[in-house]
Amino acid sequence: MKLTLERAALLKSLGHVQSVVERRNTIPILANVLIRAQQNAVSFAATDMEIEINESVDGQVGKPGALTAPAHTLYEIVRKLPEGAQVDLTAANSNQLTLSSGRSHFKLGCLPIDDFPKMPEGDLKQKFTLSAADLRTLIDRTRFAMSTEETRYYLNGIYLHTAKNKNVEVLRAVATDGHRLARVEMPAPRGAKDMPGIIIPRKTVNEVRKLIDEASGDIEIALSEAKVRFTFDGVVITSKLIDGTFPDYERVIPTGNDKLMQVDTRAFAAAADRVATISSEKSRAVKLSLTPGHMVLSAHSPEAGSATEELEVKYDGALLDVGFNARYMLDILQQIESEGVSFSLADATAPAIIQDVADASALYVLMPMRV
Amino acid sequence: MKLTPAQTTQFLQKPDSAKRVILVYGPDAGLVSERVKMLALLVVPDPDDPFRTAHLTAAAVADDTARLYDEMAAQSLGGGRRLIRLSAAESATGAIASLLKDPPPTDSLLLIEAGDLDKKSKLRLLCENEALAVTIACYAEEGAARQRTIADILQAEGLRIDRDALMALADILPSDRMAMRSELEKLALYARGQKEISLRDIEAVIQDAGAAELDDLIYAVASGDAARSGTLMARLWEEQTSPVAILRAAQRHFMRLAQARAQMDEGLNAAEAVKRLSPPVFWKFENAFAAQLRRWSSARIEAALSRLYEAEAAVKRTGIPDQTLCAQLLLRLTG
Repeated sequence: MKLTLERAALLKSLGHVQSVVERRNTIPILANVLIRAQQNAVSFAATDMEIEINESVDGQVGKPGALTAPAHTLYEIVRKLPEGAQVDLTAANSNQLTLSSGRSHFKLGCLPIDDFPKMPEGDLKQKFTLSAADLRTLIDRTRFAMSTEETRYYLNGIYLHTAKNKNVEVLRAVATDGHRLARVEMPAPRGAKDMPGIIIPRKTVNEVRKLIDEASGDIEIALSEAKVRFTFDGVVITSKLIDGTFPDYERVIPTGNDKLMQVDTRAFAAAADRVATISSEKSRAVKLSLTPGHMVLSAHSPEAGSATEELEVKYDGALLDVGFNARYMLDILQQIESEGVSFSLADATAPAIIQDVADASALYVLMPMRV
Repeated sequence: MKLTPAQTTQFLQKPDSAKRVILVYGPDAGLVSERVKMLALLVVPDPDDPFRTAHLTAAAVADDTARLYDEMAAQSLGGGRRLIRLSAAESATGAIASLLKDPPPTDSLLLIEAGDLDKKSKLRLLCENEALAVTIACYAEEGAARQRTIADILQAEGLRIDRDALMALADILPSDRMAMRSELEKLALYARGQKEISLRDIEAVIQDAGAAELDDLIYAVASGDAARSGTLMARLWEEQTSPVAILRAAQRHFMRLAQARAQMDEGLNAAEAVKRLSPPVFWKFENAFAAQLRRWSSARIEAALSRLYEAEAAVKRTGIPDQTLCAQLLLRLTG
């Protein structure tokens, strides 16, 4: 195999694929990237047996061939090469890769390409397309609420499914960790109708999100009950899904909250963040005391002291004191893009619904704390 | 507050709702797990309901001082009382002490599941001395108490057992409560339609050969005998033994090694440390166990345990070559 690539293109592709490779691997081949050179195109593949990523780029291929080389080492070498450098990758056999660029030469040990696992293709019958911007929205609005508790593996991802909202078929992404819940929806794209509800694992969500950051076109999504595939800009990510049942989340979305409060998003977030400084050692609770037109945010800690801050709000309900975990509340406020955020409340012990006043597509549920 | 065995029985049926922290610990891991499950069910109808329960690790609590308090202060998203489960380690003691000093005004319960904690354990002492906490010790039963438990489990399945068969069962069954219960469930299934269990039923069903082979494998691994480990592993694969069962058995063994090794680090010799273990090491294995203690330092045991836990998590993922992964790790541990 012999090929030449520009450092930036090589670094970009390696950066994408090496991020799937785990730092610690029990199976040696999983630490390697599979490089396949054929007719002016080079493909890079990596897998952790749960996610497989394949990226193709243009390159000058002197002699076609394939090999596997340590992903992280290769990435680190290329990263340290000077900008604009040309990188030659050559291999006389499948045991050793020689990387040359200017006066730098590296020889890296390879593992047999036959050992590189291939994820079975499977039949991904359900296919639809989303714009990169829409997929970014679905992920960004929900991923902060994914659980990290390993015992709750079925919450360690985003639940993507279709549902009916006022007779409109919508594509919905939901994530929860048991304390807060994020739900965002958009009109279901053609092809998504009757799709099975799938739970996309956290690592896949984060990898896809990283890769579509600069994408501007459409993302093709194909899925079955066991796998999902995202295809765009020469990149194909195939991932297994979480084999579990997402809980019936609708039951925790309250329907009868009658106390509505609206406040300036940024001013509220900044005030909550400031007040929470006091409470962060022992607890992250902040108290919201609501009176018509007025809110007092407060926190109290026996060791650290106390803090209060006042804000003007749009509220005409009865007096209400309610506590929230400041971190969870700030996570939600960060998702609100417009100037106003609304809280629908019932009492100090019932979940609150938080929404962007200018965007009803996303809904957040947050559970109060006793303060 | 420390519960006596009689108080424990009463508490398990009707826990005192004023208690905010329950520590269940002891050398019988199966009994600990069974009692934790019983207590969990008394608080939440579905202990897997993510909106009412939280599972925390001691590391998560130790890393983030506010985490435990916030979990206890949180209201349940779906309504109802919340349960916070904690897999214990001494590192969480500080956070639990601070919680007990000033508990949040909720009715959430903290249920701590721990291994064998000695009398000097800070966590155990804290929970024994605090009015809002209780400790429940779980030791393997012996003699008449063990026979009574076996007879009770069978009776719940609608089966009687004669005295000879009961004594035989008490001898042959594993001391771990979960393992014992699972063997008895198997026996009850075999004897479905009968009214009484006989010695013949026991001989037909309760086979400890598989368990013995598993023990042999774990001993071969911890003794560094790679060749024997390989042979025994091949035999266990033929018998369709699951890699998870093997990794769990290895975890239990290394946890016992860790306990004994800690005694050695405090000045006991290997033979004395083996004698202190409860339940005792089977006499045939005593010398081998002592030799392993000399072979393994506490740090190496800890590293081995952490790899065993990682491997268990890895083999549970779909599509992983679980037998290869398990075999690779065990062979590496022999080195």
